[in-house]
Amino acid sequence: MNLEILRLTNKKFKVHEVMLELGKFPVAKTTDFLKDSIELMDNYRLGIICVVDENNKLSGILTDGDLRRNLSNVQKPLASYFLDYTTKYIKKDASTIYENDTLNDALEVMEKKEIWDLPVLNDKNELTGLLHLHKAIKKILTNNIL
Amino acid sequence: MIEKKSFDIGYGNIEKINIGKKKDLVFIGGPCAIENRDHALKMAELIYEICNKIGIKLIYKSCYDKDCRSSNKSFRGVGLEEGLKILSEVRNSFNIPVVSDFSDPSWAAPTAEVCDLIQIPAYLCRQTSILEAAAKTNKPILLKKGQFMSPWNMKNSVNKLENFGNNKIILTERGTFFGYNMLVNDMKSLPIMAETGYPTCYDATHSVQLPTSAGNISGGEREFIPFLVRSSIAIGIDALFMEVHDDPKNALSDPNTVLNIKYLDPILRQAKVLFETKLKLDNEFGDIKVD
Repeated sequence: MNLEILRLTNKKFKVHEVMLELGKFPVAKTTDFLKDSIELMDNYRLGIICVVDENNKLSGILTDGDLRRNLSNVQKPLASYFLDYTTKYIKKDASTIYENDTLNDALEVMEKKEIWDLPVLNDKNELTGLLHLHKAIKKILTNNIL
Repeated sequence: MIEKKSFDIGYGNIEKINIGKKKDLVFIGGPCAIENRDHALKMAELIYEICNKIGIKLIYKSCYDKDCRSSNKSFRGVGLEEGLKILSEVRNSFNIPVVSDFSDPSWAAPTAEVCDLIQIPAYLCRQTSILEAAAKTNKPILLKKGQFMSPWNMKNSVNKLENFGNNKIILTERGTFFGYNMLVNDMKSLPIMAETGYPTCYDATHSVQLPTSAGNISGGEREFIPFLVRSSIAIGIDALFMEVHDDPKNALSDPNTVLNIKYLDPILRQAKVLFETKLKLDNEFGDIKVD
């Protein structure tokens, strides 16, 4: 993916300037059922959900890709799968970025890992946003802030 | 990971029984229905002595109103007021926790005033008003799994109880409908329900029931009780539930499934040995996760 257009700009965007803020992307609790998390992802039309513990610390993420891989392997009845706790399927060592890091830092991680979303944390490691590449670009272009 | 929950059963001066830490096997038992004061006290004494001798913690179970009888000719019970008086006397006489079910939301509060644990009947396990009433008593809840419920669907009932503010729940397996008048015992339900983090219980007497197989009353295959007890403990449970009677043939409720008290001692002795063996195995091998 060509991310040069973002990198060429002189302006050094901070992640928090272009991220999706809380409330604009799906977040689930560890005890939420998988079905509820899938519906939430669908409502936000995003292919990722962040799962947080009771202290709003990121427990992990679940993506469309994870769900696809699960679905082709799951042997139990679908009803049972839907009522599993989301936490059972999350990726716990998900890449993250800090809100005060630069967009360039984030892009490097994204390119290296071939991912388009990064959960954003503050300095207390609480989840504060989601950097979604497509929406970040859109925000930059529509605000003409390049 | 969903955290494992444990809590104490018992209020006031009686010795509290912890459930969930898997240190001791807890036995929940007694006659299905309270037949009368003398019989209740007699049964409590007999069961208490056996448990005491073996070293098993007892929660005495008996119900005051069997609201789910098939026939209108069946004995329904001594009623709420009289029943709770009797349970209170049992509790005070033997210093043990007691449990009864309740079938109407308005019965929850008075039941919880006396009982240390309150039971939600299997047929009512997803009835929101019943779950709400139980949760709001703040007492630990023995939640039976409906015969029509999958084990994973019980997570919805757990969710209801939690949302009404109660997180002291024991999930109980008691057999699953297999067509008409027949139950099967799917032991996988125990680890599935344990995914909630809550303690689990196996009801070995209702599990052998043949629901309403005799037309107006349930039959049962009592001979399988010892087999099912052994397998449930080997799988891993926190509590064992069995209805016990000194004269099953003349029992006023569930005569075809209730265990004759003469078998209680050997069954509980086996259960204890198996429970302790299971603990040793858990310590040695941990949770063996196969994927």
